[in-house]
Amino acid sequence: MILTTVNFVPGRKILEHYGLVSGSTVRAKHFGKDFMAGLKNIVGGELKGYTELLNESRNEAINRMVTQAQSMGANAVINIRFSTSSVAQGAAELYAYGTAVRVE
Amino acid sequence: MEGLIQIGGAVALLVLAMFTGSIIERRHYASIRAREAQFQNLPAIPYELPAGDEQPLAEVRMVMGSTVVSIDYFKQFLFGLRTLVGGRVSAFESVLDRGRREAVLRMKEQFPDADIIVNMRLETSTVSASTQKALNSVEVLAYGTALKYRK
Amino acid sequence: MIPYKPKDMGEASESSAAQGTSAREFFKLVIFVACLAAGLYFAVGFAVDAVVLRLPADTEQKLFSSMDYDEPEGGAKDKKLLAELDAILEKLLASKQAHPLDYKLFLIDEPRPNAVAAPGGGIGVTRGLLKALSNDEIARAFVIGHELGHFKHRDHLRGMGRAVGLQICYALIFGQADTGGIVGTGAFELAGKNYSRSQEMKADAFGLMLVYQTYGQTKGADRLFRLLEKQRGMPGWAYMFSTHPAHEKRILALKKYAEELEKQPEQK
Repeated sequence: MILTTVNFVPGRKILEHYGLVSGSTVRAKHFGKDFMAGLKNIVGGELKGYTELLNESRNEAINRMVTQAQSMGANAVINIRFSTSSVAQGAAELYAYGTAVRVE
Repeated sequence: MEGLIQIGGAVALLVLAMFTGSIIERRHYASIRAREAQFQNLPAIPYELPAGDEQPLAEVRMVMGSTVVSIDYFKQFLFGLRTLVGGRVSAFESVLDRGRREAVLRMKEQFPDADIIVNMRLETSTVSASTQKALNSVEVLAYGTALKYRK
Repeated sequence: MIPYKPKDMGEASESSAAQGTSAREFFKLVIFVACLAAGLYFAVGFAVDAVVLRLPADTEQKLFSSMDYDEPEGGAKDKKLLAELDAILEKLLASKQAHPLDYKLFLIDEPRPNAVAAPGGGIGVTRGLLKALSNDEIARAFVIGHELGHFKHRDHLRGMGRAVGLQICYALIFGQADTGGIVGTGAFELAGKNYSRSQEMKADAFGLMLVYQTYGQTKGADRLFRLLEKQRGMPGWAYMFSTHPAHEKRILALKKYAEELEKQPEQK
């Protein structure tokens, strides 16, 4: 599966598109990690626990989007956009969407 | 004794919210699926129309659709427990999924005769001033440019 | 423009939303959280017990020296009642079996019969209890002995320490949460009551022993429970939620223990 954030797949011709595909996931952080992050917040720096968690969740959202594209026989998703929103305290929604297409 | 009454009340409310919540969700999904099938020939995609790609057009219109979804007490409780453990909050996923699909459908309903909606964007934002820990309402907005080709 | 070809994605259209798993998830989570709470409860319990049982009496006295137990308001009648109790306390303390604290009796203005052991050596007795046991020295001695038993086993500190420890844990986990709050505190409370039931039995035994050593007899100690039982008339199912175990059960345990005491030769 080819994933791009532009309107085309460089070097390939797009044959047809199948419409919107999307994937999302809502993840809650664990109170232990939250506690450690709270401590880390005092000194500053990267919150590794959260970075990891959000990355993992974003990959999950991408996987779900790809599953949708595959089920329609697409071999690429173009115009991919991400959106992350904090839907509740301690939980974030990771959302990915794009256009499913078939390229040569 | 008072504690017992409190727990009993909370459990009763939970069970009630669980049943009503699942009934509402099932109905909403049934309606979403039916309308999605109806709009199968009107795709909405984030594709950005490149300059010089214009086909002869009959009409161009900006379309948007939005919805505010709320969470029932049972799902909020589930989320409360979930924050202790961490991981996937499936209770919220279905609510957001419903909201998003509803917003896209409302956008399409603004111009049902269009051939395609391009440059579609989706946005999610928490609208209630959340003094509580749990999510109570979220707005989902879908917007894009609807094109109708000249036949 | 790229040509569009409508296609059905089938099952995949629901890939971002799990449906119908809520109930199972709910039970899984509840069980997990219950285990977590139980683990926490026991951990805090062990930690508090370890500290409290090593706490020397004079340190305790200093720690809670700021605790001020109210003097009874009003008449000479109350003063007389307290003086009588003080005399009984002196007699009981003479055997030097009790935890060496500076005990202080105080009266609680409350019609329900009850007594409490407060940190720092305060023994509170309700007016209702004194009324129920008027002119019954052995029964009163048993009440005070029972509270002395709580001090002996540091129950007053253990209960308090647990409550404080659990509240700290609770605040750490939930923050200022609402969800789970009702269930959480309710469960903790219930567990706390359950815990102190075995302590009540132990305090009974200690009180009875003190009474026996001081007065040479135990007849009358069980009168307390018979009286209470008559007054309260608690239904059976409520026992589970009461701090004090079923009176019948306690009377039986007391009788058994009294027989044992009387069989043994006098010990000093």
